[in-house]
Amino acid sequence: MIINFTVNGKSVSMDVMPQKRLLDFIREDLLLTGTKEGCAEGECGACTVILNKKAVHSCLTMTGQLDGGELMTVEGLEKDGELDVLQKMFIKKSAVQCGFCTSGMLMSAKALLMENPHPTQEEIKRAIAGNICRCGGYREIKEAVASAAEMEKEE
Amino acid sequence: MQQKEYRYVGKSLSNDNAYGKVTGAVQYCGDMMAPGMLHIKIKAGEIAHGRVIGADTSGAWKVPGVKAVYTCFNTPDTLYDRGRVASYETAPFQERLFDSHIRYMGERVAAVVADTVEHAQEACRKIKIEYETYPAAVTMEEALREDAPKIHEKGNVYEAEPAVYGDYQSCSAEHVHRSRSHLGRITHLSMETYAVRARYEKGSGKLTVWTGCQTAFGIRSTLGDFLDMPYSKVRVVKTTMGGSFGCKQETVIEPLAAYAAKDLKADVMVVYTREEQINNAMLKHSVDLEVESKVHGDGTIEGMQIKAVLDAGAYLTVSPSYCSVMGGKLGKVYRIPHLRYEGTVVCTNTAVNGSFRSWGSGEIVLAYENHWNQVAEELHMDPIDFRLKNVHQAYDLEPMHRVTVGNTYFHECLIKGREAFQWDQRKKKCAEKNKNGRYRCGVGMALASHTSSKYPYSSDMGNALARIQDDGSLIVHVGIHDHGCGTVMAMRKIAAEIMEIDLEQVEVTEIDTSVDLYDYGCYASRTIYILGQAVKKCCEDLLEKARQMAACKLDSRASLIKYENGEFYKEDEPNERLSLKETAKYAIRVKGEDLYMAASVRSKENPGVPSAHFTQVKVDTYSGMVEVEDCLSVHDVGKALNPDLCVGQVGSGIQQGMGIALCEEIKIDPKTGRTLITNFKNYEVANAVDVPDYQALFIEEGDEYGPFGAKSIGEVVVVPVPPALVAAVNNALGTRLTHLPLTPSVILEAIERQQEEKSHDH
Ligand code: FES
Ligand code: FES
Repeated sequence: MIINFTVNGKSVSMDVMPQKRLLDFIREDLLLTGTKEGCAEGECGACTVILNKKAVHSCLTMTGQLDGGELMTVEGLEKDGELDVLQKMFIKKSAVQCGFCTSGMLMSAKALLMENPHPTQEEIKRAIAGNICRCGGYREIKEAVASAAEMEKEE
Repeated sequence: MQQKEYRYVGKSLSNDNAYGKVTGAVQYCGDMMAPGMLHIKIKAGEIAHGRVIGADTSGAWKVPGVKAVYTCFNTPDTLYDRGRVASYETAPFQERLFDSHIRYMGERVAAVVADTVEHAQEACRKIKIEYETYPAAVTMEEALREDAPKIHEKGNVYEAEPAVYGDYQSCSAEHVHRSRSHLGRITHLSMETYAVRARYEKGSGKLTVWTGCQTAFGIRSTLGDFLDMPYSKVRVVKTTMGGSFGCKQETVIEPLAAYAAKDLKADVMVVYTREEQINNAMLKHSVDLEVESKVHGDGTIEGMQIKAVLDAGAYLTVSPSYCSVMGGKLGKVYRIPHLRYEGTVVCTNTAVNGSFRSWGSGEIVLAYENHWNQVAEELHMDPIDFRLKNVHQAYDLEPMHRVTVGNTYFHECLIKGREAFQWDQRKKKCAEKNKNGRYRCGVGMALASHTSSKYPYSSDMGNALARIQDDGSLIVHVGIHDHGCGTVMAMRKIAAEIMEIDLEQVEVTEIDTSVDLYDYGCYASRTIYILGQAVKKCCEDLLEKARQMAACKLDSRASLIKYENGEFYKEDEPNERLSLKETAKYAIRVKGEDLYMAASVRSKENPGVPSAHFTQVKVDTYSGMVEVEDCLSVHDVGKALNPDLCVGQVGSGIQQGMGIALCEEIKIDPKTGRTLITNFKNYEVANAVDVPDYQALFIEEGDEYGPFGAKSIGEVVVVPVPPALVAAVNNALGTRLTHLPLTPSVILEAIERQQEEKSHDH
């Protein structure tokens, strides 16, 4: 099946297996391995990507659902060599340890800020509640998201 | 110790490779791709105990792309041990690649190597295994029976040598107190599951294995011995690791991947599913702990005895050693004249248990901290006051190992924590609030310590090799395995600090056995303390070598040459400067010498790392839910090289500790031996909503040997959290719950019991 979609801003037309998990399609066919698998059942958030402006679990999404859509993965956050403010804040606030949850975490946070540029602490927590990070206590991650929102406000 | 102003050490500069991680550019093992790479899938067995008597693989071979199908009938019988981390170590050696004797539900019975994951998986499904079933011993109780089915030839039970100091039996004091604690199994839940790539080169006969491991040299020797290859031809490369918490300390699937690679002369990859990671890696032991103590009326401890029974699961692996180590950790926190520890390990027909962050500290500390909190209550003493009476002073003898506890600050941890957490005020407030109503408040605290090296369990050394490049930049090879917590960053800071060059000029490579000097592996919280010393010494020696070279060039004596900001100069001619770059170029071009240095350090001490945790909880008596409202961890780290990442570690300890105390448990069906939770969905962990905005406080008085005074932090962070939470819940409810985890149902049951007792009393 031929589908048309954009990935990280680029238009693509590809012959795909519509039943393939979007996660595998992203990793194996688009060769974007920043998106990770942690559980394969929508519970850990490691595979989070943004599809049509919403955070989705790519492990529970089929490739066919991409048709006509707009996909954004962690690789698409950096624009022309300039990191997204969320990425900058994740680095600045030391919110990155092993990094395996990081891409999913960033995408959940990005989806939140796209929809709600000025989230409260509660909203931040809820937006990333489905993203598990075993390396920390979420403090740095919450701070990073909050200061990214803060920075956007200033700009 | 006076605090010197450093350029990098003690500065929060984020993590090494954070840029690569936020852009998705960093490659983890499972992200590797190569033309012709093959994939392995594993078939899980369907009985808890029995024998494989037949395997029909014909269906599997019909699946396209299948290159090999392995079972116990066509693979070697060689025994190995996943827990062996060095070639000279003894270990139980009970495992085979595929054993005809199946010992737990889900144990691997076959594997397929194919061109794609899907083909390998489909072929696995088509393999038909024929079993003869034996009676199973699923619980420790069953396995301990005299007529229990034998899981291993030598029997199911292993008794550890008792650990003894003084004479507990004959000591006496006014109060004798007994308590029991229980810990369930939990899964490490590293976000990255196991992934191993193995490539065998037909031409050279070399095997390369990529794995996000903690013990590259240990894996190398296990593979060398298993495949009968010289160690020199086995290269193990540590890849970026997506978390471990102990599960990547053991050699679990490397043997299978390496065997397949060698057999097929191919490049193969195996990645565990989450289910496999839970059932076929290892879990944290389930442990029953019995404590008895003798304490004087004023709260001084005279003696303590602990008996521990650990469920090893189907294979002993590290459990005997884990069990002994627990006893060895008995004397790290308190001055106790009489100590006795007895440990028993029991094999059962269940998933294997093994290495977990803190290796026994978590278990033993939970046992005695639960106990001391009860004792303090019995004596009507504040738990902090009770501890202040008994904790070690700096340089006290640690009785079990006859080394000192080092420059440790237990008192300060307690006192500073008490103040910063406003312990007394909170305690009072909780007690006042708790008269009635739906919500009950409680505070709790606990104290712990851990190691900074392996010494003197065994010798401990660290090696490093540093090379100045001809542009003045520096490469440091050190056998490090960063778990993601920032040890590479710490090494870079140490090197840059000594060499007085920009952090960006320093590259620290992680372990690759083909180029690195020997290392035991990054466990026992030894990385910063030992490898950090090695890197520091190596850079210091290298600087001296460079100074001599600069003296030649500047026509002077080394003793007259000064060094500052990456430049040499003669004391009396401070304006004529020779950069590291010029020195290196001169060395190569004129002197025919490469500016490199290798250094080894050996551990002389193993300083303790006092750590106190204070917490406040709110218990909902209707739902049984516990909310952690606020908490504080105080750590005597010696010196925080990466303060930002140390705070992150503290957070992870709190998050995992909350899980251990309140919600995480992998249950096993007592009838079938099946692991009941093999996915994320039913496994409760503390998430971003649950973990409070914790506080972290560091005591930085400096260790005398550790690099810039640093000791350790990576494991101890989790240790005091569960007993502190247990104490807080008990403080809130007026209970003495010690059977973990304290899930809502456990709490509701306790409240019900309490109410029944009350109504009886009336
Ligand atoms: S892999 Fe998709 S949510 Fe865990
Ligand atoms: S950084 Fe390791 S899981 Fe989040």
